[in-house]
Amino acid sequence: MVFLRLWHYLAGYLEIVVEGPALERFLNLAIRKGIWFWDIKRTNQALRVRMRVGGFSKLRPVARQTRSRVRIVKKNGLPFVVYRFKRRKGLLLGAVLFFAALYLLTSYVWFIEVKGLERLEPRVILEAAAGLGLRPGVPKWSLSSEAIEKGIVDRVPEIAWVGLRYHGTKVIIEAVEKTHSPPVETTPPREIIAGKPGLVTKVLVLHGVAMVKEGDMVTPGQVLIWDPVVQPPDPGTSGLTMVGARGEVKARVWYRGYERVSLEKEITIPTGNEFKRVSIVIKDREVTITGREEIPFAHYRKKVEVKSLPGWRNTNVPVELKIVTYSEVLVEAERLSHKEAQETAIKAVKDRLMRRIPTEARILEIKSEVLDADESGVGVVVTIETEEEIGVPKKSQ
Amino acid sequence: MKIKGGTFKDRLAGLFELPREIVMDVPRITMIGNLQVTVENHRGVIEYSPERCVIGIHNGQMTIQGRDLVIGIIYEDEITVTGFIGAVQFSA
Repeated sequence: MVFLRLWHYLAGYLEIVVEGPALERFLNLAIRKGIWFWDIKRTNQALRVRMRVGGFSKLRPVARQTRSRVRIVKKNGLPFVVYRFKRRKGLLLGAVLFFAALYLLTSYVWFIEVKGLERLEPRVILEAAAGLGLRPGVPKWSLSSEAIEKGIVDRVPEIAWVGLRYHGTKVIIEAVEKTHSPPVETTPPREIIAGKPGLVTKVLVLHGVAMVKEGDMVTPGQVLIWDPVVQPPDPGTSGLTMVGARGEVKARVWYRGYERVSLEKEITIPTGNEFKRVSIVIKDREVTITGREEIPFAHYRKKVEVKSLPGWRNTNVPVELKIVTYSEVLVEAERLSHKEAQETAIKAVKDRLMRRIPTEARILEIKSEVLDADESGVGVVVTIETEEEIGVPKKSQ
Repeated sequence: MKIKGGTFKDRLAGLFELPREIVMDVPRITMIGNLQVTVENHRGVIEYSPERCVIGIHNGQMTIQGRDLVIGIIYEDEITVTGFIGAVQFSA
């Protein structure tokens, strides 16, 4: 039907109104003459009919025979449009000018928007952009996004990154401000306290009084070095700088962890067999195209991939293509020996403990011991002894 | 003789599985829901108004009754009536 209508439009058609006493007879006779009619509607005593242009002259004898009156009410289709434009050259010129103007005007930048600023004024960015040639009224082809992005970052020191996006005649400048680290504490720490429990091995005081000595056991939070001088800053002593408690306290620290490993272990081996299911998601409905049958594997890994069309302006195309790939895996039970299980457990605990040990710490000893071992698994305790700095400055209120 | 011939043609059509509308000269009528009726092999429009459309067929006429009836396409051997169709009736 669409093609038929398109054909009618290209060939041109007439809309005629037929009035007379025997309209059905008029239709039948005209059809016998090979005239095509469509969209025939009746209004009162008249027929409104569409027909091709060529058949109109054949209608005259039919109208006379049935004593009907035929009148053209509308001429539709491309030939008539072309004819109209041929007669009215000004209209054609206007249309061409309109499209030319539209094209020309849309290739300029008319609006600039700045996004993503929190502290900075958008004006700062706009000024920097204007200095680089990006201001309302400049043609888009004269702009180099890369140079402007780089230029703004160079010119505005508070900006870390800038991205340009074109949205028709609008340019959106997305800027990211540099984040500053919080201001340094003005009051130096009054105390240095222990961050971890341990056995103190070395105390080196740079400023303040040592509260512990070598060989002491300390608990977290215990004061190690204390500076009696420091006070909250007050305007009268602004010329003096407070030093605060300073020093180094090293201690032996023990890390301990337990892990039990089962002798039964499940391992999965991919077989390489794959099964794909492709479906189209339209809003909330999902239509499977291929792979409608059951998944032919007992155990599988599932990977979902969704492909959607890019959104345009504010509309998101609600149609997505969903491809689910099922990869077959074999699940096999493996039995570990006691020794293997023990090694696995030791390694697991070590890895876990190592994450808590600072990199500067010196590892003195690693001890492991089997705590419980039976038919089902092995449990292991690992102890790591280190020597490390345990002092942390206590934040003053 | 005519009736006998008709039955012979009918049997012939049945035997060779030929389309009856070709062998017997009866119209082929296709309906799409209550929205459209297409009559192939018709004998012209006898009466037409938005509520009632009478179409001639080989040995009588068929009446389509309904609302907002429009003759969508009309050729020498095919006619399509669209609209809201209420009833289709045959009479000799």
